[in-house]
Amino acid sequence: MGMAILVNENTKVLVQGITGREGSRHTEYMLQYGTKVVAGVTPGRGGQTVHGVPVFDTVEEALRKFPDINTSIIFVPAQFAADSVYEAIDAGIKLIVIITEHIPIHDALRFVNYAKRKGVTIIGPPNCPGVVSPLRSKVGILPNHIYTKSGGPVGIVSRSGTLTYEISYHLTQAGIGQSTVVGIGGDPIIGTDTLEVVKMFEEDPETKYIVVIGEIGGTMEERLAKYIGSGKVTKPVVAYISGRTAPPGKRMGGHAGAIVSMGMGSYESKVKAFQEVNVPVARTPTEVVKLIKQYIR
Amino acid sequence: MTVAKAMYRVFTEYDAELVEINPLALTTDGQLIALDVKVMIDDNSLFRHPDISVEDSDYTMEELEARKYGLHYVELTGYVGGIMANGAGLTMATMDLVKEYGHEPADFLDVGGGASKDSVKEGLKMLLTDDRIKAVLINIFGGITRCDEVARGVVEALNEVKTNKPIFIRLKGTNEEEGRKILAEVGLKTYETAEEAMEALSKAIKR
Repeated sequence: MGMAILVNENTKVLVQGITGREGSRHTEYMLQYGTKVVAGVTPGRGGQTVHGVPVFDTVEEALRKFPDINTSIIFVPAQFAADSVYEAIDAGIKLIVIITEHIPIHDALRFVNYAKRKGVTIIGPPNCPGVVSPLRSKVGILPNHIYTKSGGPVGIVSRSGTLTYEISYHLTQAGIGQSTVVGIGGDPIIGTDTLEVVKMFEEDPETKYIVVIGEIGGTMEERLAKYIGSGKVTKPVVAYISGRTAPPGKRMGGHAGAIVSMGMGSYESKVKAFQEVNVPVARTPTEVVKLIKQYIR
Repeated sequence: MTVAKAMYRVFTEYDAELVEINPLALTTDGQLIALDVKVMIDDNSLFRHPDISVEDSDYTMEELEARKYGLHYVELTGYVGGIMANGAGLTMATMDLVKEYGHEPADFLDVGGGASKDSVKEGLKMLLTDDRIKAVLINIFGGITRCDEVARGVVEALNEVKTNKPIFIRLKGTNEEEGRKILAEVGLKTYETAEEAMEALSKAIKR
């Protein structure tokens, strides 16, 4: 078991949808960050290069040339995103990070299920900023300038993007580094949930404390609390949940999962679940830092 | 059984998030009739359902208008923060902060990651022309979003809409120096943290 989770120095990345505006831009940012981006795929664009990265027509061709690719990041437009996920799974890639927004939920239902059967880890979709193990590898769109300090004792798992950067920034300012930061996405159907990431942090020797950034909607936080209650998480966990003032039945922006419906997934239910298993819940994002500091001392 | 099968067909063929029949009536001659039906279609699947238009949805006029500019807007019942932030999580956290200070948020307005000058401008104009709103709180943590772009959008909105509503801006992250300079030129102060901005807002408006 290595240090940090999901991505590290050995992560070799394939960018699907590399010639698109977002794909190309974030390929450049990932390269600047030091991520080993080895190849890209856009059907019909094989033979080109993007920021020096060779482009192939199919995932299979890319893997034939670079058999050490172990991770894919997807920027393919929503209409075609599902096909590109199946292509990556069938080619044998074991970690797929999906950045594409607005993927139909029925598509996600099917490919998430397929990935599970094939033993493939999917991060996202969507509204998912991706994964970073600071200064080792970033597979995602998290801003480089927030993650400039190498490693640290805190692992973060989050349903949000910007809010994650904000909390990471405050932690780093306070001198508290992060082992790995995982944005799992804000949709009702996602590949990897909070509990699964917490289990990975529990096994990671570098991670000593876990920050969970949740939001209203769904029952992920409640399920995590139940698991913590069973005594299987030995590391201290601190939580923050956004959406206390969101009205019931209304979807909050791009986060389709952030909706309280039929009495499930309310702020109160999540806070209560965490408090019952002695997980402190911060009232504001900046309070997360204070709560973590109490454990570190 | 026929009813369940038909519901499943609607669910899969129309990319539904919800298919509900309530109530389902059994007539004296043994017929099943759906007296009321609710179907929710996934917005993101509309590209394969050309027969369904987002105009038919139950979004309000304001919400539909906001969507044109890539904004996510939800009207809330409060009076204070015309809240605008980037990212759904941060926007909700900002609403919660308004409440934390004893005030009621008036809206959820997410300008999105990588917000452009124009979407910020249109978003802010919506808030400035909303009579319910007494003060505006903008909370930007620039990652993909550039603070200078946001600042330009704010200035353009103020050029187009006359207002005496106080505006409190927290600006942090990518190109924040440049953004702060642009706002200072029109006499707008910026804050380091959302809490500082909210504190100033609290002092400015009295309940």
